[in-house]
Amino acid sequence: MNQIPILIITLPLLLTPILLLIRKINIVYALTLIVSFINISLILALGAEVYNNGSIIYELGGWPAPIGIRLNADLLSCYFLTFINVISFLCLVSSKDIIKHQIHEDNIYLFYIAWLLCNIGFSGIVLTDDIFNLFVFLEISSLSSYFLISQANYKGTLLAAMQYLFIGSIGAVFILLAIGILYAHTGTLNMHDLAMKIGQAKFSESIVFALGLLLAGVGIKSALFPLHGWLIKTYAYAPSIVTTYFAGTSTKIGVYILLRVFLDILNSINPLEYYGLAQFILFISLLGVFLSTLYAVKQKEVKKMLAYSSVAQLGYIIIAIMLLIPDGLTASLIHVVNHSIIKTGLFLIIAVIFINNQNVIIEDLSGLGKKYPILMSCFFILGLGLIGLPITSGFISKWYIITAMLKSEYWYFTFIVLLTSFMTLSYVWVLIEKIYFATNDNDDAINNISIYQMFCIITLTVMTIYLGLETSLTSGIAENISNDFYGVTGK
Amino acid sequence: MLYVLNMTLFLIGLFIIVRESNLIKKVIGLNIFQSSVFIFYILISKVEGGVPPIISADQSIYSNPLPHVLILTAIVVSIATTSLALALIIRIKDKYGTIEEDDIDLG
Amino acid sequence: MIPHLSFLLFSIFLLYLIRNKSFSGLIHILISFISFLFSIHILINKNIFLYKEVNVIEVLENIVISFNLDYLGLVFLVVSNGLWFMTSIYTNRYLKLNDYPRHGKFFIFFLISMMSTNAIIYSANLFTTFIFYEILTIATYPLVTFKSDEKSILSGKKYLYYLLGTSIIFLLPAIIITYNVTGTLTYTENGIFSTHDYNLINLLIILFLFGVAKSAVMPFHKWLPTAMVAPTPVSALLHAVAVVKSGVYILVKIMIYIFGLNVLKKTGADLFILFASLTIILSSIIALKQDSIKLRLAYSTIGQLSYIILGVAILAPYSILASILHIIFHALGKITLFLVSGSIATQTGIKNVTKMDGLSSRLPYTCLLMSLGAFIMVGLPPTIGFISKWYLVIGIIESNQLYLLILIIASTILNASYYFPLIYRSYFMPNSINSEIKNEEDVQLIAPVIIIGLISIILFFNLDSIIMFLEENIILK
Repeated sequence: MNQIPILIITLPLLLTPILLLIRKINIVYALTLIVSFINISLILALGAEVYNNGSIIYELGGWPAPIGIRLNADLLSCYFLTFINVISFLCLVSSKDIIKHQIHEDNIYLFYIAWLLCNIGFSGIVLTDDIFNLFVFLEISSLSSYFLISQANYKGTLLAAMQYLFIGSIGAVFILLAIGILYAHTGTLNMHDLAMKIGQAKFSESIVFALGLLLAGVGIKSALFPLHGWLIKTYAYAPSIVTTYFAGTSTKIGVYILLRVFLDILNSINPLEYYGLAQFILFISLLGVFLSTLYAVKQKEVKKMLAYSSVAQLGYIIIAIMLLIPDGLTASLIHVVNHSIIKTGLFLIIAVIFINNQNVIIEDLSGLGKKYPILMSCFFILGLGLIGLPITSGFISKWYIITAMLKSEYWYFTFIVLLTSFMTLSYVWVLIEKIYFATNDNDDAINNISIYQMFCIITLTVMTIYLGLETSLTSGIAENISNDFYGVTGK
Repeated sequence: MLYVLNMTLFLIGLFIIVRESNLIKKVIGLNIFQSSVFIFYILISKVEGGVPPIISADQSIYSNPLPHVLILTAIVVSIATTSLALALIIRIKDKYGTIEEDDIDLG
Repeated sequence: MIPHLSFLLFSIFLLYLIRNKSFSGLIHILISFISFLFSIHILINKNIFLYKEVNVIEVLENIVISFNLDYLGLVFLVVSNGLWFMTSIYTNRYLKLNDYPRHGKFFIFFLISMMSTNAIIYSANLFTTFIFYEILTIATYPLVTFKSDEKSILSGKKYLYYLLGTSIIFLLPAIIITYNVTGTLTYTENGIFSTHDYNLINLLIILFLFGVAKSAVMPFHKWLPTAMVAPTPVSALLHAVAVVKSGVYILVKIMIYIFGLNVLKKTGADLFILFASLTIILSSIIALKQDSIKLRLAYSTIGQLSYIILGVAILAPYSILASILHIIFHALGKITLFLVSGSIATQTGIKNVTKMDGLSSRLPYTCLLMSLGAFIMVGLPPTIGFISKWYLVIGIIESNQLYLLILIIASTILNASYYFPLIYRSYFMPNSINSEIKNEEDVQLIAPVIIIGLISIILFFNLDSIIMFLEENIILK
């Protein structure tokens, strides 16, 4: 059981060079799927163990901390680990039929290898207990994602990948410098150790500088408004299955790093409260939520609309965190999972239907209600989830977010959350209207949606409804995590 | 003092990335940017009166070897990023015929 | 309760399976009939079924989806299911005569709407109510946009935005605040608030009043006239009975079982009275200007709903009784009027009041029923409408808010002014109808309305038992 954390990372990692040698697409794909599936089983076992018995620690090479690098699987890590890998798996399953149309055939095996590496990067970020290790895994996932994004042959892809590369690297270097400064003050890289030592360190302006760097770096990675520009371009120009994967994972990793660094490691100096950072981020995010929802309403391209929607939803998550109350953290964690599932579902439906189009404009959705009835009902349910209507998981998130806002000292800003929820209705409904009411004289052939893709989409839809009714998996665990963070006892 | 120079390098690198429109120059800026951070790590590893961290009988104060090791990792990351960036630039050149970001016509 | 709801849920799938068959309308009639039987069964065996809370699923901590039934709900249950049954017969015929395609899908959404209405009646707490309130909005949307022409789609959008928008912006925070202040959302006798904080209660009153926009209180009433683009059966049952009455029912339950009459007495239900009164007057004035029959009826509905809210807001036992009675009586009267207007439109193509001259010579029974409906709405003596108005007046006098008497008198005069043209023109103006009558007084269209009319008349003479029933069981203050 203690070995599971390292297995989750090394199993796919060992597979990667093997896949590099095997060039046959089918074998590469099969092995990728098998490893992903094994990973999920390991993660579920790990999660159950951690939930019941507390965190599991693995020391690499047997070297004890703070000398060695440790992996620490606590409840927060397992929470993120689970949904990221499940989404990755579902996207992989759906990718087989689409991939041939979007990516050059010779590169497909490399594509899957990069996907595995990206996933390893995400898993590593979440599991590690060493802050420099965090940076390394961050870069592993970033580099693979630059590659994954550049694979499409759309017009704007290469440039978008290039711009993402630059801004992503800048963010990563900011984080690297910040790590260096923190190391200079405390002499340790282990997260737990750092947490203890930073409180005792002598105050210095360089620490404030480091905090600023961390904020900027994490902000870039999690597409905090106004550092969200790369997200729109990336989601629009990447291969659609890659967008589907990243919609639910990459920005959430940014949120994880934010939580880990600012709430966990820097807990003793409490930068968010002390320097008013929380207030600052809160107000910017409120503005960001409003503006991105507005942009989403005005969009004509579906992918960009969903991308702006993601920025807005991420804004909700950040706002909830920055309320600095336990209910806020619970709300944000719940929305992290719920939104990932919904967004992945929406993008996946677009991906499996529009295999060859680069720009899916709203007009393209005309008449889909008749051509793909089951898929469109799933789209409808996921859309309702995005708005936050009852029975869907989105409603649960909204409930928690609004509750948290009302309990905090910023309760008068709740109306912004409510108003933007209403605006979300308007852009989702534009899509629904087109799907069900517009007629398409264009007799496009109906794509053969494979049963695997259907399975994935239906799974995501069912999860949305399930998590809307039986919330112990999301809210139960989220409440546990926030209680641990805020040291609240009882409940 | 050295730290000030280091930060100047940091800012120069950042400025080049943001300001230049030629993609190769941007990559150069990225490298300068990243290198400045490497230098920072090495700067902090110097212990006053310390010698290079190779164990020898008559020395007792050594410079901190850990940051050097960290930098090796970071340099590897930097190389990977640079090579990926350069590969992308080649592809961009193939596709658009130019590597000036301003001139790329997305049509 | 659970068997009833499960039956309805199951029949949704059944209707889905046969959606393309022509007999889906008949199956729908059968389903609504069985639903009506359920409600009668519960009525007869009320001692077994009432006050048995059933928890279905715990969604959040202490927040469950649960069902319960009290006497108020029982009244509404029987009324709505009965009227559903009558309307289903009418609808089946109406769709065929007007050449509407895709009957199957229509009936599925109709069924989901009625299932949601029943679920709202059965809700034991605000959370369950909210869930089915939203489902009702979404289920009625395809019905409003059924004609699928540009006007319907635009109207449908407006309809949806009004209803969902107000529920997201006002109702949801109201529920969350209530939960955080009181720790529960269950409908409880004497309300769940132990505090009399004036500002909090009034804030919540505003939020609930605007949030439950289905009760058509101004200024968020626009969705109702907009929804008149729907086929008439939809307008009749849903927007005269199911949807709007659900809204008012929810508001009444909130006033009685969430705020509690004691709390309202202390903090004053002034805001309710204010907005209800404004709505009554303004809607009547606007109704005067409407030429389209359906729109005139829609604005009349808006005013009548506010009567019901006003009745409870006055906080006198007689006025509350009046409100509950009016829930029944208005439903009967309005549905008569709407179904009649649908028959008129189907058989003669007439949709405007100014074109109704001399209609009685062509469609005698139809016009007779229309007159009955109008009399009920205005509140004239030989009809049940008079009874509810009478009790309302007694309640006003009892509670010493005599200025409201002026309101009642003024609005009654206004109501009369816009209803009487309907009667006057059809009976006393010379026949100027040029259009062909397609089917003389189609039986299937008129029979349900006749039955409803007969029930209205019978009720007038048998009110004592009902009033005793209500007084004993609901007015337990």
